[in-house]
Amino acid sequence: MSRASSPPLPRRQSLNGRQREALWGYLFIAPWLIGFLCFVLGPMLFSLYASFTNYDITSRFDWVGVRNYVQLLTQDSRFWKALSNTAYYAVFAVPLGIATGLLIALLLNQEVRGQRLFRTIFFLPKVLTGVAVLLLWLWVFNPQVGLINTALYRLGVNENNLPLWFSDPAWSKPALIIMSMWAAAGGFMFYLAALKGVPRDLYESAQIDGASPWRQFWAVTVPLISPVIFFKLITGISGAMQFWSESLILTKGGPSDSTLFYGLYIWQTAFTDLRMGYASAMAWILLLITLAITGLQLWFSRRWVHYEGEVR
Amino acid sequence: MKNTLFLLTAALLGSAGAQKVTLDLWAHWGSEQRRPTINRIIDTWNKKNPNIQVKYTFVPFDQLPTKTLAAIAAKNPPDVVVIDIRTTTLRAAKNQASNLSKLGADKLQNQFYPNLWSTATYKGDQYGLPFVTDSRFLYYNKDLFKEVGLNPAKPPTTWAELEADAKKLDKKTGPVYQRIGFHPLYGSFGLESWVSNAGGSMWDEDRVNPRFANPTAVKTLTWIKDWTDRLGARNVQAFKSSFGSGAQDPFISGKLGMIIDIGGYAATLKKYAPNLNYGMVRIPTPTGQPGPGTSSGGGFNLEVPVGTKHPKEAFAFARWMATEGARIWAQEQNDFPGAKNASLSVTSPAFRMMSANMKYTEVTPAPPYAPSYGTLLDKATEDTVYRGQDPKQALEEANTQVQRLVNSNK
Repeated sequence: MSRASSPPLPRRQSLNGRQREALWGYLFIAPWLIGFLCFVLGPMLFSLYASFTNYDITSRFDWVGVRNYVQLLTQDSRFWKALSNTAYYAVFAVPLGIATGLLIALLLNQEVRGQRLFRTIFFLPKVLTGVAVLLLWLWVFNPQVGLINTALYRLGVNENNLPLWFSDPAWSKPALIIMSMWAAAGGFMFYLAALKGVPRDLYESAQIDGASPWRQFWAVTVPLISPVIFFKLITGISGAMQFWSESLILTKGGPSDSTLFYGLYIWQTAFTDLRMGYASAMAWILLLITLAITGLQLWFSRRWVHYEGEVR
Repeated sequence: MKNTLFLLTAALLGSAGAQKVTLDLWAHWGSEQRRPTINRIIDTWNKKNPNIQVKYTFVPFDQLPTKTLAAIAAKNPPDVVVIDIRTTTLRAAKNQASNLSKLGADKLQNQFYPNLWSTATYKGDQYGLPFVTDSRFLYYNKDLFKEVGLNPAKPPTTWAELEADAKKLDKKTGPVYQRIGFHPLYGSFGLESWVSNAGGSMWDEDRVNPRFANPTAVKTLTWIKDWTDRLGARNVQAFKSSFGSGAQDPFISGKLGMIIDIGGYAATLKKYAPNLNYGMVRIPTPTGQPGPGTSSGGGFNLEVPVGTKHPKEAFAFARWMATEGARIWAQEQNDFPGAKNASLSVTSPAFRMMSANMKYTEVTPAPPYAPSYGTLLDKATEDTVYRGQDPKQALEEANTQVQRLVNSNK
């Protein structure tokens, strides 16, 4: 690629520092890039085309224009239900997840005896996953014999006011959010690594200036680890938009569609109803929403994310 | 690929022997209990048919529909698949299941129970062969009947009797239920089954368009709602959450006086509660008279996916599997076979009852244009029963949504 821009000079010399860096950059992302071009881009474009058809995988594939999109936006109440369920989940699960991860990282950053053991224990949620853990949660949230309701009962909550969790549309999403915090706790590693990178002398200066620990946290810690928080925010939101497998296993979208998340509705539409074209349209709407949110976040990030090595 | 290689070698060697084919069979049987039987069935066939060898592949239950669909889309499907009996017409409509009438399936019709045969009939042609099914019964605890002063020799036959007996069996300490006699939605009998039991249907005659808000359905849902209101919606839900399986089963542990479950539940009771004194009878109906929809069943059909390279051989095997194979399966696994003759070889009382109950058992296929209707119907049911929505209004809303699905899928 550099050959075009370079006259007779030998190739090695034609690469200046910036170009060389760019070349290395592309080399490093090459595995992802090749994978994306070979395995993701094709199916994506296919699904974009399919979203304008009545594709059902095996018997028809006719162009229907924007019918799928119009139907989704104007007639399909379950689409809006799924979208609002997903938004509800994202609004609560992402900030609470970040707060939990950060809080645990702060605690695990203290110098106490047995800290390694604690770090191991708190990392367990990242190691333990899958259906078995979900089924365990089902017992934790069991209205009659579950840990949580037993604790609430002991704390004096009247028997008839105990939440029914996965049996009650008002409590099913909160239950999933509480569950997600447990998994988010395992994400403390990111914050811990960032916390370790905050120079100690900044705290010393702050202490000399008389800053309280709380003030130190907001004025020193948060700005310096803001790139990590930002990273977790972006990945967290896009993860929350795609959250649904838990609801497939635990609630099948019920009760009363209260855990019908966007992904679950796509899956049901595509593989139970065999309306692949319609499901593709849903997937593209989700992509556009996620892109918009990510764009907004990038724009806002200039106001609060601080890169220590950045030249302004 | 293997076949091509084989043919090539055969051609090169100049051997003129019959061509050997290998068929792929997919099913969801992989457990310690199921595996030996399916292996025995395949071995029996393979010994008899050296030129049509069958290879069995276990695919987990919840992945089977999607994997089969993907394989059909990729034009490399299994030759025979054992798959949900309720969705065969959907796959027929979507050009996923081969038309077996063209291979001579129609003349097999009278070997199978008619309620099962019809699950795979689409626009007059046959797209599958019934393999196994089940039928549901009312199980009641005779000791508890005695305890509350009911005659254990006189189980309920009408809805009114069912409710009266259930009330007597309820047991409460303060505000908390220790035992609930019966609840229509405990066990495996949903609103649609109850509507059939009452002689109605949720669909028009062709099972294409929903008729959810018909008078029988509204009446049935109201009946379930009133039953629930009497116990308290919260109590019904909370009580249900304490149900376990195996020895924690609510009927075994005495939490329920009566429950509706499949014929195979008798085997579960034998295993976990050999001393339980129970009766197994036909499900009560509003009038006490049985009809074609008094009980409900599910099960599995054998299908030949579109795109198989050996449709004739695949059909030959499917046919044998649905009859002779089903006989072996019934003897070893106690699942009720779709072929009449295969069921005769098992003489256990539960099996004979199932056989007699077949003519009162409806296997309701999912409508081809709205396979996910169940979710919407469940929502209407739960919103009414547990959350105070008006029965008619809830059913009408669900009907609108399902009708929209049907229209856009047609």
